[in-house]
Amino acid sequence: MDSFFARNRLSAYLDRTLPKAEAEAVAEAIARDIALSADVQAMHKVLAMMNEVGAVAAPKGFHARTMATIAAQPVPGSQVAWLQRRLARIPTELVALIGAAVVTAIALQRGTASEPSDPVAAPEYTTPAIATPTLPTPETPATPETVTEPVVPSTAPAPAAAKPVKRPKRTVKTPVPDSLPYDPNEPLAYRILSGGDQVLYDIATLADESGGRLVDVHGKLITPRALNEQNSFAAVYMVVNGANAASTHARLLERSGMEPYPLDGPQPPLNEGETVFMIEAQL
Amino acid sequence: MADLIRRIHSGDPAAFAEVLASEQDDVYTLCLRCLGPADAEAVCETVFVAAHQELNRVAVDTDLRTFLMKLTVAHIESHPPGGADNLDALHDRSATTQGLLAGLELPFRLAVVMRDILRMSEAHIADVLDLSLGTTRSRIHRGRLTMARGLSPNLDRV
Repeated sequence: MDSFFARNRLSAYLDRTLPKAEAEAVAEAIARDIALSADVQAMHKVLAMMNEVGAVAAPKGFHARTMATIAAQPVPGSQVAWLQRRLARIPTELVALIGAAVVTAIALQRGTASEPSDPVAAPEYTTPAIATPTLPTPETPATPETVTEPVVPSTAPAPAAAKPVKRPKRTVKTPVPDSLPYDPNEPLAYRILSGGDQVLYDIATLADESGGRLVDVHGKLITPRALNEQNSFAAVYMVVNGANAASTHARLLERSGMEPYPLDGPQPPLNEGETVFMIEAQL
Repeated sequence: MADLIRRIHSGDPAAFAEVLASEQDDVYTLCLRCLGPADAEAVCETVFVAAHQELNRVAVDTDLRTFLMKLTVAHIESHPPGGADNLDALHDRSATTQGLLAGLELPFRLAVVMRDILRMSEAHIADVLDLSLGTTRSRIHRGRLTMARGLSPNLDRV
């Protein structure tokens, strides 16, 4: 055997993992080549040194210190940790906006309260229940004016001098995405915008709970990671059993909050009876 | 192993203490041999704190040792390279070995430490490092050869 090939087999030779004939050929090459022989001796010595140092025991008190550090952490999966993760996802701008809205609302309320009251006391009456707008169904098609004004009971005195009560505009909500039907023959892709740095872990949990797996386009299992400014986007595929596809679809819709789009691009290889979903997640 | 993860999932605090007790030496050794004595303990602790968080999400049939080794490798790889280690604290022979290991690039160091110090199989190392078996063997071999040359600098180069 040539010295070059023999040198490339030195590790396996020393580990005694070479087939017998190959090991004999390496031994012959070592006997022939002084440099190769020196390599073997030096490598042998290195292995002996590594064997001698062996595994090192963790420092004294490491166990107790680590358990104490862990005890100081929020309990994973607890409501506190859940709340912390959710709060971390709320952008600062949104918090500022909500704060400004609250301050404005309070200011407006005080302004209204300080207005001179009407000399004619408004009679007291109970506000009748407002009829709930009906969502469009096949039997009752939606119309823009499905909200009916409340009818003041005839027994109540008419508040002639009272200012007209401003009622908040009620709008009929458009159908939420989770009402979208799921067609197993039409694979879908979902977008999760502003998912937070832990979004891939959430998706992995969802896959786990659905009995599925997260893979790349080649079908290789993906280990979730935290997203950050440098890696703020990830596209993953969730493969689940067809029996769980509809419920997975519903949960993905809920998490995404957006209408999915057809998955036309490449897909990972699937086993019989499996369904794939694509998820594009953003920090 | 599955029972241990089930206990962790159910919130049994003693379960993680068992994991820590059984794996802390190997995780610490990997950190020590790859990062040096200055950073080993801190990184090792970080690994277990992260593991405590992550274990609540892993599947029950997860191999704990592989999971911990993968997590350790990820923390070692993301750890910023430090300055010169103070090897005086180590035993003479150990300091020589540590010096030779420090001369290896991290991918080779990881492979050699797992194989020759932690005695992990090549297949297990390949799994932890997410490499093919051939690449893993090549890294182990090149790491050993580089260390051998570090020990005997007058050896011929390949």
